[in-house]
Amino acid sequence: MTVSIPFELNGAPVQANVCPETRLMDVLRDPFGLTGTKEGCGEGECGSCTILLDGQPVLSCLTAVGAVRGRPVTTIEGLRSTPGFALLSRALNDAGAVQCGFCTPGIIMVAYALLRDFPAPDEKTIRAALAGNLCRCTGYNMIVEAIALAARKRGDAW
Amino acid sequence: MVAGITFCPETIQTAARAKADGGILYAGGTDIMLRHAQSIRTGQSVPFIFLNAVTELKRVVVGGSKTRIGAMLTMSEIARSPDMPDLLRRACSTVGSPALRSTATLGGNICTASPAGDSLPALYVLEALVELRSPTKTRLIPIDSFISGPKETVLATDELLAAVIIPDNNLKRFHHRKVSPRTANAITKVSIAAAATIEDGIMKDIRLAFGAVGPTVIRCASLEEELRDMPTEGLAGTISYWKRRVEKLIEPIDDLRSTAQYRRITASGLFQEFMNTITRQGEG
Repeated sequence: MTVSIPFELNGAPVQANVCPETRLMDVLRDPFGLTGTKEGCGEGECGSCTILLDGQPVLSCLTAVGAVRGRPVTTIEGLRSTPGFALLSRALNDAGAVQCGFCTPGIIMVAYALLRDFPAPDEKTIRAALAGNLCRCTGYNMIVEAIALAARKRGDAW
Repeated sequence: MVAGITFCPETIQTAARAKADGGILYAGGTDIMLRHAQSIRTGQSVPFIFLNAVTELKRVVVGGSKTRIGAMLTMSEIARSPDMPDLLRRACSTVGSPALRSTATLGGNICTASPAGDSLPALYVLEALVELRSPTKTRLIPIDSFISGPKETVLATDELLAAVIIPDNNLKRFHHRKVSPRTANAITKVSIAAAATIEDGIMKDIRLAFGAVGPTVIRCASLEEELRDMPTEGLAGTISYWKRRVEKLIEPIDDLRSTAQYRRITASGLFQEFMNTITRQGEG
């Protein structure tokens, strides 16, 4: 049954007119056209669908849109103009941490929240934060280096 | 199915009534979004009742010889809260991945009642009770009575699990380990939750439970009985006997994730690790 579900999307009030049981990931990609959030597995195992809900990393393939009623959702597109994103995308580039790029938006969402909450995470903390994000291309080491690099250069980005 | 089921209730009463009317309770959603994936995809899902606006389900009350944990607390919230028993924090931090733990709830994990459910062995060792609320009544039952089989509970069609009650205890040492192929996003092959108190070289109290080696969590009550009041000094020498006892008490099967043989050997190994850990640390 279609209902109107109001929530906040990338800082703006929006409404989705869908069944509340619809996967948030599908609502973001279409009708909202925000295709930066990826479906890698659809089972909550790969992290490609990670978004921020109330500022925390959450798997949008395992979240029904009805659950975000009245709550703030941030996708990779919503981070685009932030200094933290600029820092992270530069660091990922410099560390050679992007190959096909499919896992990257999900990883940036996690890394953004991590560096916001932990000014100087050690390698163990970075790897633990990334534990739910799979990458089939890079072997992870460059990704971990990129996040450490961004942390060192953080300045007042957060 | 009733059109116009309240899908965003603000009270436990309203939520329980909506469930009685035919809706499905949605706590963190991480289990039911998979279970109902097909019907969601075709737009034919039974209506979900989203519980995130029922603020009472997020309350934590510490005092009166117990800790009362609202069912909607997430695994992340429990893992980082100093008010929670350490054993439960450890168990909840092994669920899924960081992003999954942001939404997965304690109540949901209990109601799913998977034989491999990660919070469960800790809850059995802590002798947790669950508070079940219907529109008309409340009942409180021990967790090992609540879970009646693999993925089965005694939750009535008009009930929701509102809170988990953990009575205070005097146990001094706690131990937990989850065995799985990866450190994240891996279903448990076998797990141990245990607690003990050692005083003057005597095992004053012990509680021991294993996960993923039976249709439900296996609490080794008879083994606890044998070990209670034993001097710890002789235990290392007789460890093989105790390991065989563990192997006889558990009921592992061959399944998708592991074999009965692996689980048996590993469970008794986990028990040995627990014994080594607590006896090596001396008193307490």
